[in-house]
Amino acid sequence: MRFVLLGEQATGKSSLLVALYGALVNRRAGDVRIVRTVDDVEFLSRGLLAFGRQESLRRTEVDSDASLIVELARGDQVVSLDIPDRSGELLKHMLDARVWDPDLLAQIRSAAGAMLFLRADLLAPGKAGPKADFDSVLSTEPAGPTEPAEPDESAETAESETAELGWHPGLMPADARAVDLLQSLLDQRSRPLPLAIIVSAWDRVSPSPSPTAWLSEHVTLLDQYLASNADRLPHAVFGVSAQGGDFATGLPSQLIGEDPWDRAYLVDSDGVRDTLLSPIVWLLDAAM
Amino acid sequence: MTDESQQDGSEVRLAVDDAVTPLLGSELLNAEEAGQLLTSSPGRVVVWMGERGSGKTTLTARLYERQRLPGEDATFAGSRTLLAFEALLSQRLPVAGVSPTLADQSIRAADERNIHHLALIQGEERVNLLLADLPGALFRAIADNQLALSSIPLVRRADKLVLIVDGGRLRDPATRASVLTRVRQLLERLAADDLPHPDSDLALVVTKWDLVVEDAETLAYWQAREHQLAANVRELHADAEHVRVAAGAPASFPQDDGVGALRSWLLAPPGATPDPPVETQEWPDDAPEQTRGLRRRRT
Repeated sequence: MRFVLLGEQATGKSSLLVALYGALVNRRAGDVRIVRTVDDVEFLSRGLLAFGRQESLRRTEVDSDASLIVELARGDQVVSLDIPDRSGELLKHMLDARVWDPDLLAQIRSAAGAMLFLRADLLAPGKAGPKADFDSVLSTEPAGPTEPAEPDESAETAESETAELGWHPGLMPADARAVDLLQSLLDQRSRPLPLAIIVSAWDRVSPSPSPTAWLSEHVTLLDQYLASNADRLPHAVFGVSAQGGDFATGLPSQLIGEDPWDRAYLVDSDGVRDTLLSPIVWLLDAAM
Repeated sequence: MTDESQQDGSEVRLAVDDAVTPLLGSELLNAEEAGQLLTSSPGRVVVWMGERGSGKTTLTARLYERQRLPGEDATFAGSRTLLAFEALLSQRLPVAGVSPTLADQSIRAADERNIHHLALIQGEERVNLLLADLPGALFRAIADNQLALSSIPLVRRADKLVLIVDGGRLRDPATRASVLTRVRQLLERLAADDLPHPDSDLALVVTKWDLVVEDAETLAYWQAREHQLAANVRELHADAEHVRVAAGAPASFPQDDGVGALRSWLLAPPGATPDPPVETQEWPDDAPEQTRGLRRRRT
């Protein structure tokens, strides 16, 4: 069963993949366990090593088209899971160029489900709107899932580029870009696509509403689009902190001595803590 | 996609290059694509008719942008012209004049891309709004009887025809009378071409209402003439709607901007009373008899 990860640069795809692997290997995945690892996991091991050192993933690791291919057992059920992680740069280029990447298109057509990544700290209220400095979402250096953005510098770049080039799709706010992607995706599929919305850097959401409420408030257009198309895009929203906090500013004191898989956490649609595997479990249930 | 000739030269066929699959929503729609959309789900073809700079493009942009506000009673369900909407918004509202992407003559050609698409859900129904401008140059040519309205396919096909009164031009004593004249000229042209069809709707929309109400003299001018103009519209279409819209008003504007009311009218099936029902307000006792009961909204 294939679940595709969808997200632009620095939206937390690779970090979640690393954290998922860490949770599976280290038995922090509830009633889900690894039966067999199918593919090379060197990238994921390096990611776990970085998290252990309280370092974010480097750009080369984030945009490396990695994947997690494993056989999982859940109760009596065994499923083969293939989670390819396409680079965020590729997705950005595709949306800007207005042409599907053939490999991603093939994956989308055959996928049993997908995860769409949004980064909480770059979508403060109003940031997804038309007057937002949305380009900061797109041009942030993807040093890691909770690496601070540099909105001022990005804004200057966006402004000068806009003045020179006029409007282009890369200037769309994050909510419109997400809708743009999902519309094009549905246009290429005849079957529904279960969709887990992953709001990464959840540790930066304060005060912490439920992920569902956060989506409604911060990414309104996407929220409405999902509600209107729930028959073709059954979905659930999760908040994830793959690192457990911000390495740059320092982890909360109670987490400093913890292992990476015990620092990482997830909250479900209602804001209740659950295992990192719960989006996968939700997708498996939705796809069957 | 590439052309491929057969050896005997008798046939030319198209070979599809599978490696190039365009993403959805990159361009405005042409009439054929709009028609295809309407075959799959309910829709309304809307044509804005007004002078250049009267706020047509702003209405289109605001209908989309409005969906980002919390608590709207219509839900965004998608757009085949998402990029065009976003490009419009980036021009920083209010927008004066037609979009630079719309050539003045383009609405006359069936293959031109000049239609915005916005899918909304209100209640249980999903409705495709297909929004087209009648460019200013065409508007004037029609008003001056240089061109028949019926020669414009989209106008003939329209479910919702919207006559626009530019509230901004009402503020200028030099131009305000011509605003009324243009509307009445259009009414005459519509009548001459048996438009709108019995199963289509008509509305008189006053744009830039914030500019009208902030100037007492302008407001008085308009109030003195509004009843009669509305009556003229209703002579053509008994159920004509009358909406005041301040789509480009600053956030400090104390009244409702009217965009929600306009949207409800657009989403309502032609000939149907919108849900929730349109507010009906009695005209003052001194209003002409024929204007009493005209449905209107305070915005």
